[in-house]
Amino acid sequence: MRIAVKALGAALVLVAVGACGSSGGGGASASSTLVVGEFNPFSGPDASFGLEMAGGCVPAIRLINAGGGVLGHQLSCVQEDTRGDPADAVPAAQKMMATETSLVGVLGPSSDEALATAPLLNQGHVPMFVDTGQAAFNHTGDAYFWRVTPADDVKGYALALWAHKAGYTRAAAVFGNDAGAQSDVPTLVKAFTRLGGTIAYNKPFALGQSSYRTEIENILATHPQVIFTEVDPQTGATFLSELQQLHGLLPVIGTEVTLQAPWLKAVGGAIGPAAMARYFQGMQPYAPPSGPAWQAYNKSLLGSAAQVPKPSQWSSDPYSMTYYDGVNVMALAMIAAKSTSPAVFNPYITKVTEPGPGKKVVDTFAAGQAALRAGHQIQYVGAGGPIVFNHWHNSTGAFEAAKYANGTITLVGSVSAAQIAAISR
Amino acid sequence: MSVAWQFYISTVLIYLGVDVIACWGLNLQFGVAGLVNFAYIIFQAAGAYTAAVLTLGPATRGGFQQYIGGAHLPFPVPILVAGVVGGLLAAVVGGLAIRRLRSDYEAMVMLVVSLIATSVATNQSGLVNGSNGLALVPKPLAAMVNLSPIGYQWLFVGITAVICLCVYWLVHIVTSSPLGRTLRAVRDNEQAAAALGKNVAALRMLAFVLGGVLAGISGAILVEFISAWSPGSWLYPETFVYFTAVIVGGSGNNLGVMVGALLVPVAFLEATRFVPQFGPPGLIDALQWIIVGVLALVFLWFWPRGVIPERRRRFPRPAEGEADGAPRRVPLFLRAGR
Repeated sequence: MRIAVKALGAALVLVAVGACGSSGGGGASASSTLVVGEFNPFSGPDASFGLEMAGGCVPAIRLINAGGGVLGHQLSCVQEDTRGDPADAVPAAQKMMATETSLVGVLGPSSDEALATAPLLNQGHVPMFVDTGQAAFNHTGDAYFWRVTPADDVKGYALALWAHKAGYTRAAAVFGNDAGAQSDVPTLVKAFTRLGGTIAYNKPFALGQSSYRTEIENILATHPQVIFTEVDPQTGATFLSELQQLHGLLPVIGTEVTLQAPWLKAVGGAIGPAAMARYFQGMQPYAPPSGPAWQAYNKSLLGSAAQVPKPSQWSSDPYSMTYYDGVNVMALAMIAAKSTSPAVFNPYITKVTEPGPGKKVVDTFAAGQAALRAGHQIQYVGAGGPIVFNHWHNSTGAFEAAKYANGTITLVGSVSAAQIAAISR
Repeated sequence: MSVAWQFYISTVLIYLGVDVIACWGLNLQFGVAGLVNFAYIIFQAAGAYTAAVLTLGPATRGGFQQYIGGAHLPFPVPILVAGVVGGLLAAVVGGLAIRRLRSDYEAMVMLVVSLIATSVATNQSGLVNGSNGLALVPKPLAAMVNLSPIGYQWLFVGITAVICLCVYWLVHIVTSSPLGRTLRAVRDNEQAAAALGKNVAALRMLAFVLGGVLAGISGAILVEFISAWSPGSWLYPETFVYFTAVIVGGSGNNLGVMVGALLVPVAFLEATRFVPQFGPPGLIDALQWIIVGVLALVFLWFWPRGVIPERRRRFPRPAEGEADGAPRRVPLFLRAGR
């Protein structure tokens, strides 16, 4: 009983100390460190999301602090583990808003917890650069919601456009029966049909089976020229290796999931590197690893080994780049608004990103800060490319097609944001 | 106290209520009846999904979430139905698993049931919207009471407290009745209880179903509060957090279990959120699961009866006038069956 009383007492003291030390949100005192929350899973099945986020936040903070900070404040990235589920994410969001009195914005939430926590963050006036792809946010009215990564359903348009460009007119859709993969299918079917193609096979794939012989026979009976896919690495490896044995491979176009290391390793090991290079292409948000913005990002990332384990793994990761851009955009918006209060600088986020006549295009925080101090209006074009938010604070951007050869991902072409917008109407 | 802190503290209090109810349900099964239910979390999930679906209304064709059986039922009907569904699911699982199996094998089957349930809910995307889960569940009474957001938070704290009191009344009369005594007898020596003519299988099943009902109610309260639920919220390790709470608090003791719910899922897991960052990203978050396991082991080794042990029941000698052992008046439903 005494242990219980002591523990209860300690918990109450902890809460009381925190509560007394808190002065509420909104802005920061004269010299305090501004906090950017990394609001993503750092544990559980999606723990890699958090590491990916650190690969964007830390390099941005390093450059901003090296440039003197924002309005006299240094910045820091603070992890807030959502544990990848709504039930754990809700108290995490409330705790973060209660304890981080200098919280100026967050990176995240992810699809795991966005529908439960984005309304809370919006209610707390916390700008969020989300990484959720859920279509539920395509027309959100949340003022503090900003999405630089494409919605899940946009991927379907990109796949269809790329296949059409390659001359394919008959396809099979091999998507896992999980909700994430299935959310790509309606727009894929719609766009490919509109472009004159036919999805001859389209059935949700049961994941993790030991054999897909029956499914392969059904697919081959429809005579597809190309296979669209998003399945987990194990399923992809089993399915494609059996297809290779039974018939020979067909061209495969996958989503960004298929360009991630576990998928490439599993499938490449199953079908062989030569077949991988010849038959496989993947589509991911367009974030070419080149140009001055990317060079600044990559240099800072590679210098962040103390805080980011194996930083080079995020060098060409489009999500890490967009997190980096998100921090820079918030910092520049604060300078443009001359305030660190989220309620004040939030409207300036579009002002520092949207194109316009007479605006100075900047690639880095330092260039943007200098231009703003010189009295210019700016358009920030980051490591992930231009950011153009629509009415609902979504910035879709372009997609790139890439192949995997000799252990590296190589860009082979792209689908523009304008093409996606045209086919989605 | 700032509004942000009020939001956080009220959220923690609501979670405490949810965890206390869930732990009382597990205590009925494990602490009182000796059932090792490693699938406990699926009954909470069943309640959560039921309440969500019965609050959301029918799914719209082509909408971002697809599920079966949608309806608009007024508060508190979804919570009550969630309890019924939790109990029915427990009856089905119990009928398959606990009638013929005991201890180790029972625990193994339950663990497998938990894994199967998660897999089904994730892969059958038309059932409860697959891995994305259900979201945007309307808050109960929100449209009627017209309170500020923080005012509504405190109202929900009050609702949760009232439900907790009702549940405590239920578990107290069960555990302090002849039925509770018989369940403990089954737990302590099943063969002896059977030899005295008790229907062991029926008693175990009754405790299992009652625990399922409470788990369903706890899940329903949680989903009505957070407005979302997905397979990530009820992975099998979550069951072990509740087991640790019951063990730490004092298995078989309702008050102890309440303290365990305060100490483990609330105070302990919330406290780790306040630990300053050190090491590589995610280190603290990964360590907390290890520490939960260590906590359970330490208590099982050094304080197996928990911080508030189950009371040893000593029965006084019958008084002069009661020498014939005339029974107390006990409601029929609480009498132990044969």
